[in-house]
Amino acid sequence: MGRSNAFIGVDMVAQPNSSQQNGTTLSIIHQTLLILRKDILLELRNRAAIQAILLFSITTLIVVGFSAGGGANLPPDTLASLLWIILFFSAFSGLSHVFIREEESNTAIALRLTSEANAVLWGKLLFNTLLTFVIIIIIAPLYFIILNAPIVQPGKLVLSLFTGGIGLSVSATIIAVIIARSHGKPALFGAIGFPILLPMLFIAVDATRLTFQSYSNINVLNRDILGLASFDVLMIVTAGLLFPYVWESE
Amino acid sequence: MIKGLWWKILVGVWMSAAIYCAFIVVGPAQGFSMNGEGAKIIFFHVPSAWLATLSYVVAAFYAIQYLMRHNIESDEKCATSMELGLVFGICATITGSIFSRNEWGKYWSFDPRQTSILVILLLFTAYLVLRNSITEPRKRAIISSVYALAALPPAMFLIWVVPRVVESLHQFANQAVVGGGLGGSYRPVLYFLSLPAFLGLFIWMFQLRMQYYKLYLLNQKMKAEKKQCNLK
Amino acid sequence: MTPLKLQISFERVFKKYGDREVIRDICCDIQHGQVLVIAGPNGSGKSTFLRIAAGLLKPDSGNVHISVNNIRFDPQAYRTQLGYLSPDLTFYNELSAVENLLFFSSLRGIRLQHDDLASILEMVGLRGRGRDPVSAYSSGMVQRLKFAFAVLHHPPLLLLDEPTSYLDEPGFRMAERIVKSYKQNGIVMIATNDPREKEWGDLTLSLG
Repeated sequence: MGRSNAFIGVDMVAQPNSSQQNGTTLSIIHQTLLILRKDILLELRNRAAIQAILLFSITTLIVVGFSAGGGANLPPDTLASLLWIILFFSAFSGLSHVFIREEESNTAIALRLTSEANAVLWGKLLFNTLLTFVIIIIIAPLYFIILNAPIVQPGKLVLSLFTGGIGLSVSATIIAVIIARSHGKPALFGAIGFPILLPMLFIAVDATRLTFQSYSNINVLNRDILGLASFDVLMIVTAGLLFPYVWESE
Repeated sequence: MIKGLWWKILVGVWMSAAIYCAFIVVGPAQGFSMNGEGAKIIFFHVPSAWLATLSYVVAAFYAIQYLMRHNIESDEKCATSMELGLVFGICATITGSIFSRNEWGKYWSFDPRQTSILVILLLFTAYLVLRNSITEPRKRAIISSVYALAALPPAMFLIWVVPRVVESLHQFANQAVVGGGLGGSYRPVLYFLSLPAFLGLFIWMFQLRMQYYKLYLLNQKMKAEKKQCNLK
Repeated sequence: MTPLKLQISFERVFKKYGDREVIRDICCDIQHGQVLVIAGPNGSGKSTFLRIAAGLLKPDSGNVHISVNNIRFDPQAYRTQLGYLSPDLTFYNELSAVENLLFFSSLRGIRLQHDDLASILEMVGLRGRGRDPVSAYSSGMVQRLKFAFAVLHHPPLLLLDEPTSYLDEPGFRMAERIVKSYKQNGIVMIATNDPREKEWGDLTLSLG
C-alpha cells in the first residue's frame, strides 16, 4: 500500500504534461519509429504477412516460369506485365494485414490513446514499404533469372521497381485503413484497391517494359519514371491529409 | 407548379435541337464509316464522357465539403454524383464501343482511353459497393468521402497522364474533334447544343435524386413519430 | 512542481447512434478531487459517455472541456494524457505484458525504468508474470494489466469503464486503492452498476 502510494505521488503527476506542449514533429517521428519497430517485432513473432506473401509470390513465379517453358524469350510487354501482376497480388495478399490486425484485435483503441494519428499512418506506411521492398528484392531477381529477361537498362529498371513499389505500398496502406475502419470486410480489398492501383500499374508496366528494349526511347522511359515518382508523392500527401479523418471515425 | 420550370423546358428544347441538328442539319463527315454518318455518335459520346469525368470532380468537391463541415447532405450529394457518373460512364462506354466497332472493326481494343473509362467505371462501382457495405450513416459518410478523395490522384492520372504515356487510337478521333478535321458545323453543334443540353440534364437528374433523398428522410421521420405515438 | 488543478465540464452533450439518442442533453461539472460514478441500465450510454470524455468519440452537439490549471483542452487534444480502461481495450497478444507497457509508455514519451515497471506490476498484482505473453493471461490478469496501462503515466484524469469485472477480491481492493489515491490528485470517473463501486463516488450521474 505504502509503496504504491509513493508511486502515484503528486510530484510525478505533472510529468507527462510537459511532453504535451511539444507534441510536435519530433514526437511524431519518435512515435512513427516506435510503431514501425513494434510492427516488425509482431511480424517476426508470427510471420503471418511475410509468409502469406512469399508463399503466394513463389507459387505464381513457379507457375509462370513453368508455363513459359523456362528460358523461352517472352516479349518485353508480357515480361513486364507478368512481373507487376505477381508483385501486385503478392503485395495485396499481405499489406492489408497491418491495419486489419489492429482492428481485429481491438488494439486500435490503445494506439489512439497513446499516439498522434499521423504517427500511426507513417509507422504502418514505413512497415508496408519495407515489406514491399523485401518482396521485390526476393521476387524480381528470381523472376529475371527464371524467365531469362534481357535487362538493357539495369539502373532504370531498379528505379522503376523502386518508384512503383512505393506507389504500391502507399495505395495498399490507404485502402487497408479504409477497409479496417469499415469494420473489416477483407473481401472488398481487391474491388476497392483495383481502381486506385490500376493507373499506376499501367505506367509501371510501361516503364519496366522499356528497360527490356535496347531500342526504346530514353525520354519516354524517363517520363514514365517521373510520372511514377509524382504519383508516389501525390499519394503520400493524400494519405497524410485523409488518414486523421478515418482514424478518428467511430 | 414545378420549381424552375423554365430552365427544365429549356433543357428539353436544347436537347431536341441537339438531336435535330445531329441527324438532320449536320452533314456526313469525311473519313468516317457509313459514308461519314458514323461520325454523328460524337454528339452523344463526347458529352457523356465529359459528364462522367465531371461527375467525379463534383463528387470529390462534395467529399471535401463533407470532411470539412460534417453535414450528412454533402455525403448524399457526393453519392448522387457518383451514381450519375456511373450512368453517364456506361453511356460513354457503349457509344464508344459502337463507334470503335464501326471505325476500327472491334468493339473493344484496350486502347488507353477505353481502359481509362473502364477504370473510372470500376471506381464509381467500387465507391458505391463500399458505401453500401456500411450501415451507420456517419461512418459511411466519412469512409466513402475518404475513398472518393483517395481515388483522386489515380483518377487524375488516368485522365491526363496515362493516355499521353501510351499512344492511343483516339489521337486520330480527338484531333478530328478538337483540331477541326470534322466539317465546319460539327463543333458548334457539339459545344453549343449537345454539351449544354447534357449538362442541363445532369443538373436536373442531380436535383431529382436529392429530392428523392429528402422524401426518404421525411418518410423515416414520420415513421419514427408514428412509432412514438404507438408507444404512448 | 505546482500541483495540477483539474476540472471537467460537459455542456449540453448529445450523441446519436443511427436514430437512437444515447446521450441526451447532459450537463455536469466535475471538480478536482471528485469521483463521479455513472450509473444506469445496460445500453443507457455509460460507455459512450466515457468515450466522449476520453476524446475517443465526438459528441453530435455540445461541448466537453477539460481544464488543467484553467487552461482549456478538447478531449481529443487531451486524449493521450488521460488514463482509460474499458472492456474493449486490448493489448498485443504476441507481446508480453512488459513489452506492451513499454511500447505504450514510450509512445507517450515516458521512459520507464526497471524499478518503475517492477512497482507498477507489484501494484496491480502481476509481479513475476510480466514476461509472459498476454495471450497466456486469464481475463482477470488482463483486467489487472489494463489498470497498469491506465495508470502508468500517472494521469490526473482516470476514466474507468466497469473497472472490476473479472477481478477477484484482492483485485477489487487493488482497484479501490487506485481510485482512492487518484482521487486526491485529480478526477476519477467510473461507469458501473456494481453497488460496491458506487460507494466510491462523490457524485452520481444516472443515465437512462
